[in-house]
Amino acid sequence: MLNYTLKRIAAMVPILLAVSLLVFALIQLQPGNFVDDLKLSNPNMTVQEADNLRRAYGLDQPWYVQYGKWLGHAVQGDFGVSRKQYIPAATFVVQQRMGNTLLLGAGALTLSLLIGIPLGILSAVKQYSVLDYVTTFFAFVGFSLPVFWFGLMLLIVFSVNLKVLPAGGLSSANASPLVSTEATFDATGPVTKIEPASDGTRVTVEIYDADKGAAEDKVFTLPAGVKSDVQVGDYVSPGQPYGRSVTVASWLTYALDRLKYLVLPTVALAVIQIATWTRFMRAALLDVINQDYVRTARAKGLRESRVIYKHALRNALIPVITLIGLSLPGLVNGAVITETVFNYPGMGLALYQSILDKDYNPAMVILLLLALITLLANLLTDLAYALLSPRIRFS
Amino acid sequence: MTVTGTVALEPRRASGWALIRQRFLKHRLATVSLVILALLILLSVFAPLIAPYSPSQIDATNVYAASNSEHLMGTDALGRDIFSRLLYAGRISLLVGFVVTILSALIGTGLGLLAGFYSGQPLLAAVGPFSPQWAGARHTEGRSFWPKTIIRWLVWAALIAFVIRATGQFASVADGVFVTVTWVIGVALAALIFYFTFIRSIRLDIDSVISRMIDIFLAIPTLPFLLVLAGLFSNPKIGLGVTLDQWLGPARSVTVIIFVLTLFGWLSMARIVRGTILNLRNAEFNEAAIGLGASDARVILRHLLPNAVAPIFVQITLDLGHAIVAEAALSFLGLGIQEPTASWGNILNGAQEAIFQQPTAVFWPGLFILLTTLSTNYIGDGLRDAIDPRSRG
Repeated sequence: MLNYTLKRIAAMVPILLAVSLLVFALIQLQPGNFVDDLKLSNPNMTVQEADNLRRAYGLDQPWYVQYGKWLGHAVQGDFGVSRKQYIPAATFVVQQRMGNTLLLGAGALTLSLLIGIPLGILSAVKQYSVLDYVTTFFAFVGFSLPVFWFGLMLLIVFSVNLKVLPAGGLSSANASPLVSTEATFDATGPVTKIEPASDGTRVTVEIYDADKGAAEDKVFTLPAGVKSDVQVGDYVSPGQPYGRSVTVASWLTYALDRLKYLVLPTVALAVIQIATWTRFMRAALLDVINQDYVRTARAKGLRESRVIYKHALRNALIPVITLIGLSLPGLVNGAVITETVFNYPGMGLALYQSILDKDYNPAMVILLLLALITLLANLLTDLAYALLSPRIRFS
Repeated sequence: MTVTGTVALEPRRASGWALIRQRFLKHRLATVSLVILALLILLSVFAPLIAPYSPSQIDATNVYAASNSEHLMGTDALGRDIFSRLLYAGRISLLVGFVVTILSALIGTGLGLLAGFYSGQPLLAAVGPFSPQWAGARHTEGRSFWPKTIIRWLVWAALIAFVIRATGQFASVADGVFVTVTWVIGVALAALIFYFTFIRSIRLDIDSVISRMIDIFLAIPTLPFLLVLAGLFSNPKIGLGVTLDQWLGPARSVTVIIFVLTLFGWLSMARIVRGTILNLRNAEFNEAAIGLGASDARVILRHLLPNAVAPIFVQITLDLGHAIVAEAALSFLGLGIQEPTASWGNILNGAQEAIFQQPTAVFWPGLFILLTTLSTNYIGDGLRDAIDPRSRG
């Protein structure tokens, strides 16, 4: 098993290499590049300047040379700089965008499993009932739905007409889990010293006492967890908050705000998945229900619920669970378009924008990351299958 | 016992297709879907006769009109009649869908047949590193194997590096040396990894080559990659865009989208055909045909292919739905069919920009897409049940 896993992981290397070569070649063969766009948008840029810039970025060389260099840097963990975001492409994608996409994807997957699996079970147990026909019909509608259209319709109903949910984005403007502390610097004067202490941070402020005609130090203790923007030499004034911190209430408000923005994209992304899970669960359970051991269980005189949930369902869930891995590429595809419709700043939107901007380093990182996710998901599926079903052995 | 005879009396081979047709027509939703799809096709084909307005007729005095008796589905940002545009868009969207599906079916079936039939037989190309000896088919135990292989790879790596060196332009000699060395090392490394992961464990036959190709394509998330690809041709101002524009004129974006979608469209078909053929290869009729001395081509085309027709047709219906949604998605993102040519996707794109002025305009193009995909999915379902009644679920 370990041997097999290692072999599969080793096999990912050439596939990822091939994917990177393919994607890089296609990207670089595109007409125009980042500097061409810059030149078009900036009439003051001279041809000489543009040429210099191209040489600096290595854009004057043929694509395979650029690929060789890119690969050389990439294997050392350097994926280049995003020329729109002005930060390393990997940092941009992983730190700023990946979390949002994972949140959206995980939410959609959970939602679709929670709805799809029970629906599928009901549909199979009551085969050919009205419920079964209705479920089957909606499942067909579900996976025939164009995600982007469904997303737009959700937007129109819930944002434009009912105005109950925001039309898109990640969170409300300036939303942050950090709120200003109630405690304030009740003094006027320069900060002379900032030192960490066991119970927080001590900030010493020098106050000039007009009555005494002399300056004296006043020490404020900022509780741990408070993020303060004062530095040595800054003047503080009465009423100025110590800084910002996370409280339970502020965190909850922020989480609720994020949730409000997540509802529509998650539903839009989940709808196809729900349809798939329903159909799949139904088929898997029907397959098992006709097996001999289920008939035996019934013949023993077990209650129907026990037959279904103890004997049949357990076996029917095996192929369903393994398919979770295989559903990831579908989620990824859906996420790209959902994020674009709802302007949700995840990897999908980043990819779309970086392609429009010809800012290719983040696009490479995202595509490779997505390819890696797909490959790992396939591997996990196979391994899960082997673990859950003892009949399968890898050598 | 009068009941027993009825089943056996049914003629077996002759009425195969008639039986399938009978069973298909019993699937009510599939039959209705077939009618709806036919209607959609007819509406698009006869768009010039049915459409009340020209799809490009601009009316600046009547933009964002709501549905009324003159404009059945209202007008868009330029005052064009949405209903007429949707009918004309159907021509493009359905054309793209059908052409992509047919091309994918041809490519997928062809490669699937080859992969399935020749699975396990080493590739005969004795060129360079891909010779049968090297691929592990025979003579691999010989002592001279290792040095020979390494030398062959180095020769290849140097050759590739030389070609690159000859065609590339480098900023300096040092730069050229750096890149060349990187390439030699890179190619040799990649080759070694490739060798150890694929060829040593799996013998290099045409099946491995095609299957590995499918693996690589499947590892690429389709839609993001299609974005990259469609972006490649989407710029009509510079480079490749100009060339394509000269060749194809207004049809450029349609041809490009067909190409791009076909590139990924054949994968599932190839996998399904390959699987079917691998199963059929052990069937007795196949062995009988080979035993009688039939040529490979005859066995593949006359004996194996006809037996794989059922899954191929089912896959075609599913692919049709996928292709239409994919085209709509790309056009919706602005990277597919370009204005002024109308497609369901780019009408939706236009409607999205006016989502606050005219929310209803979003509904109609999506409805056309949904009706098409829903009916293809139901037709596929009906076809599957009709061809293989045991699969009914």
